[in-house]
This record gives sequence, C-alpha cells and structure tokens, in this order.
Amino acid sequence: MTLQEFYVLIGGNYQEALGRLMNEQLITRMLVMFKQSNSYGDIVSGYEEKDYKKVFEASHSLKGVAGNLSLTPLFSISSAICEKVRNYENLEEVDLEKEMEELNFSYVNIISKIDQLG
Amino acid sequence: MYKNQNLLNIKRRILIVDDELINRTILAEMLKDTYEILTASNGEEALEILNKEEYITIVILDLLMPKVDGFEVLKRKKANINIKDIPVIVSTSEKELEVKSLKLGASDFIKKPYDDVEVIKARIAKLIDLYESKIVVNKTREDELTGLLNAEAFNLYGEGILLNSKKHDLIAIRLTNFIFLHDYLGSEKSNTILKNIAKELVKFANKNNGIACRSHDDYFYVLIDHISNYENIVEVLNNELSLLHERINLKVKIGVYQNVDKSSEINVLCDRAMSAVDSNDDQTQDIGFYDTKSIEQNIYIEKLISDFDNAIKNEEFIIYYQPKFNIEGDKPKLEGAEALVRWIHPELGFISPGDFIPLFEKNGLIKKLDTYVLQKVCKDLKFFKENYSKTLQISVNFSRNDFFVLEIKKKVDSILAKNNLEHKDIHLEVTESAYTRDGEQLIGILNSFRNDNYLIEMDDFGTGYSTLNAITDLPFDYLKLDMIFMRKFDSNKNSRKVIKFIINLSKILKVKTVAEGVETKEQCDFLKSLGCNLIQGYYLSKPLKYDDFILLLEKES
Repeated sequence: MTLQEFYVLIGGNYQEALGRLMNEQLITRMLVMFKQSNSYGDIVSGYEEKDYKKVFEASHSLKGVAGNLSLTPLFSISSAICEKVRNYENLEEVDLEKEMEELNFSYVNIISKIDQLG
Repeated sequence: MYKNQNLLNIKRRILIVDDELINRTILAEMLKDTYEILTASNGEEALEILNKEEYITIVILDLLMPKVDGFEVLKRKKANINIKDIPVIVSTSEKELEVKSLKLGASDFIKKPYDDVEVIKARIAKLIDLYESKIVVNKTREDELTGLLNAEAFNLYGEGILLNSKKHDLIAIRLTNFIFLHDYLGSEKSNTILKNIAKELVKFANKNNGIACRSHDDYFYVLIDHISNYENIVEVLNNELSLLHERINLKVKIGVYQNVDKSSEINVLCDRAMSAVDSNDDQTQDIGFYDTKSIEQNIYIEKLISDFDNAIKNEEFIIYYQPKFNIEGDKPKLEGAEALVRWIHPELGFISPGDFIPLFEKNGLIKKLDTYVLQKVCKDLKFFKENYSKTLQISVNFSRNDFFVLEIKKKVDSILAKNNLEHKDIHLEVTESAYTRDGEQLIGILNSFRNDNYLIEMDDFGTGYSTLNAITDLPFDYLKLDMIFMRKFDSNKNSRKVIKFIINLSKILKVKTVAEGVETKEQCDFLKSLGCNLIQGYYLSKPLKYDDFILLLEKES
C-alpha cells in the first residue's frame, strides 16, 4: 500500500500531511512512531476509571498528534472527546459511549493499515 | 552597518518543548536546516536546558504537559533574570489559552496542527529579528567609523557562530606603522584607509560565512569558516592600500588562529590571533599563524595560577637548601646556604621553578611566594642556629616586585624578629637585571636594608647589562657568579677569562664572590686559585631537603 492509498483508506489528508512534513519518509517514520504512543490507551483506561483528567490530557495529546499527521477522523473524534471532558474538575459522570466507539474504530483502522504500508 | 554582514547565516538555537515525541520530531525536522535544535519532553527538562545552555534564541513551548506545564515554565522563566528575556513562541491548539500565556510573557503563537513549514519559519524569523533589533537598540553594536561590528557585538555574534559544528578561523588584521602614518597623513586620510580596509573585510567575511569588527585604532578581527588560503585576502588588502597611497609603504599584516578552540571566549581567541600578528614584528612575512601548541601551554599556566593559593595553604612549596662552602682555607667549610623553592604539585608532580617563578613575577604572585619562603626559612634557620651552627647564614631570593611593597623592610624585620634572628643571618639575593631595571628607586630601598646590617647578594652577575661604571655605585656585599660561566668552563676558554675578570672586579669593589654551579674539582681549584670566596654546586653538594640539610649540618659540626 502506498502512503497516498493509506490516507485515502483512513479518510486522512495526504496533501496536507505532505505539506507539513515535507517528505514521505518522514510521514512514514512518524506513523510508525505513532503506533507506540500511549494516548489512545490512556483515553480508554481513563474512561473506564472515570478519571476524566486523564481522558482530557490523553485526548488532547492524541488530537495534537493526529492533527499534525493529518489523520483527520482521529483528529475529529479526539477533539470531540477533549471538549466533552475539558471541565473534568466539575464532572461526575460523562457518557462517551458513542465517541469511544468511533475512537476505537478510527484508531484500529489506522493502526492496522500502518502495518500494511510498503 | 553590521546588517551588511551575513548575520542571517548564523545558526540560532531553538529549544522545542513538547511532551509528544511526534510533535517534537516534526517541528525539529521542519526547522533543522535553518536552526540548531534542542528538545525537551517536559517543562522541568526545558528549564534545566535553559539554565544550562547558552545562546538559545527562541523557545517553542507546548502548554499542556504533565507535571510542569507550559504556564509553569513561563512563570519560572519570567522570574529568572538569566533567561527571562529569551522569547517564547507558544504552540497550542487552544485559542483561549493565548491571553493567559501572553500575560505570562509569551511573544507569539503557532497553532496545532502546525501550519505549513514556511509559515512557521517566517514567524520564527520575524521574532528573532525583533528580539535582536531590541538588543541592537539597547547596545550600540557598530563601529562608528567603519560600520563594522564593534568588539562587544563581535563577541556576542561570534559566540553564536562558534556553536555551529563547523571549524572556524579567527583572523587579526593590523597595518604596519599605522600610528606613524596617522600622524603623517592626518586623521582624515588615515580614516579613509581604515574604511577601505573595512569594506574589503566585510566582503571577505561574507564570502566565508563570517563577521568582521574593528575594536579600536587599526585593530580588526574577522571570524569565518575555516579556510586554508590567506594569501588572497592579504593581496586584496595590500592592493587596496597601494591604490590609496602609492608612495607610502603601507601594508597589512595578519595573524591567523586556525580551527579555534571553541571552549575559549572570543576575546581570548582574538588575543591569540593578535599575538600571531605580533610574532611577525620583523615584518618579513605578512601572515603569522597562532601556534596551537601554546594552547596547552596557556592551560598549564592558568592551572598554575589558579592552584597557587591552595599550594600555599597546603604547603606544596618545599624549601631546598643549596649549601654554600667557603673555599678560602685548606678544606671547604659550610658557611651557609641558598634557599631554593620547589613546587610539588598534587596532580602535576614536580614543577620546575623555571615554569612558575617567571610567571609569578609577571602577575605579582611572587610577593606572596617570597614572603612564604622567607617565613619558612627563618623558622628553619632559627632551629639550625639553636642546634647546629650559630654562624649559619641563609640567602633568600627577592624579586624586584618585593621591594615595591609598602614598608617591605618593616615586614622583613618583623619576620626575622619573630624568629630571634639577626639581620645579617639572612642575605637578600637580588638579580642583576632588577638593579638595571629599576635603578635608583631600588638602590634606595636596598641601601636602607644594608644600612641596617642586612647583607645583599647580587645574583646572576654577568647576565644583565650592568656597565662597569654603574656597578661601582650599586649596594651589595656578595657578587654571585652566574652558573652559565661554569657550564662553559670546559668548552669556552674565554669563559675562564671572564671568571677571572669578575673575581678581580669583586676584589676591587671589596665584595665577596660566590660561584654557582661548580661541578668539578678542576673548577673548584681554578676558582680557589683566583681567590673566589665561596662556591655552591654539585661538586660539594646538591640542593638538600630540610632533613638532608640537617644531616649535613650534623656532619659539619
């Protein structure tokens, strides 16, 4: 799979990523690095533990990285989660079921396709 | 104006602070061609780097980070005088945090996800320009006459240049006989010469990614990427000069310090390059190169100076006694000794007095060392006299610097008095060159010692420049024949004639003669036959440590 095909399949923005990162090698390097990132796992565990501060920080991080790599769906959903828990200090319980579903789908989709990059 | 110079070519340093490795890497990749990049993964690390590293031009700071966040970094930075002025660009996706960070001292923002690389670079360049212009306004950076950088600005920008990993050369440029020409041509013409030199130096500096300055008069410096050929620039400058004044033999001479030692300060590098100009004083060559071997020598010298106080405190300076024997009778008889100082350094081991005495004479530390030696010797001599020989006399070397200490005589008197010594027990050894350098003033001080029963030995006689006339007026009681004459004793027949002359001279002057460096029986017999009074040297004894000198005293008594 080429990098361009990857971006099409995950709904990302190849041109934007290339404009920012300047060359394909760097984009690929960053995508491989992205697989090691803990943000996704922290959102999931934070939500299970009702630790919304953790969810906020992790979704904020994921938003930044996904944005910089132009992984558009992941950027959108992490931004949405981030906004929902921004006032984490005043939150007792938040329903993020739908968002988490979308997050899981986007994340797994991206990760599985990074492995297929040539 | 300094803007003519390639300051934009200097790689500034940027610190990128972000807890996400991917963000740090992307930003670093964007900027690494234009800037030198440092990175930190959290606020704490960022503050550490800011405090430790010098010349960071800009910080790009993420705000939301675990533990010490970006706001905390801004707060602590603002409170730290050393780093508070370094501009910060906040990188954030949170529009609403911008006002808060501005209040805490942030200068600009870049948004996340990052804009196109050119947008980010332009923002950074603009901020650097603003920041550096502010510094320019704060301090005048320009040499008024030539428009080159002045020395302060040269130091500032030069330090930035040296951070680059490339090799660099520092060149010092001067004009031959400039002061004379200035008087001869008048200031207007000589200023034109300086301006034209400056113009060529700017071109030369720009071509080689460097900067140029005039510090004062005809002292120019250029810092550039390392090159191997300096003939061209000398030719260009000399051509320029010959066009201006055909009839006058005006030339440049340059000193080049290649592959400069980047750990030294710029002004030190300038001094080294300038010393290479001065090494060409005979003007036979236009280009002098700084000898890098002397860097090690300089480090060694700096170490000796910085270790001096501890050496005194830890008693690393050891006194050796070079016995002096009277050879007037049938058998040589121990009459006294010359106190010699040796430095046993804890790391460097034995250090030759030839390394540290001239150095300390130059920087004045010798006064402290001589006082230390005098105190030690007086204490030892008190013990020697009480237990072995009541007539023993020790001579102590005095630097000419010692005699210009306020109330030096009172100080010496008091050290002797403390040890119950009489003035005649200590001989003051003064080199012949000291007499010739300081003339009447020194003679006055020595007379005051002599009038109070101190005995003076003129050391190293025959190596200075005393004329026969002058020497008759000098106050001294012993004339020490320099060991150089003994060294040439066998190889140079004239040397024996000189020895004979000096011993006869001392008889005329009614002073005693001490011959140094006597190593053989033949030398001793020769000196004795001429009527020399005392000898010292390996023939009768090498310099002895305190314990060994006591053994000698026991044997003699």
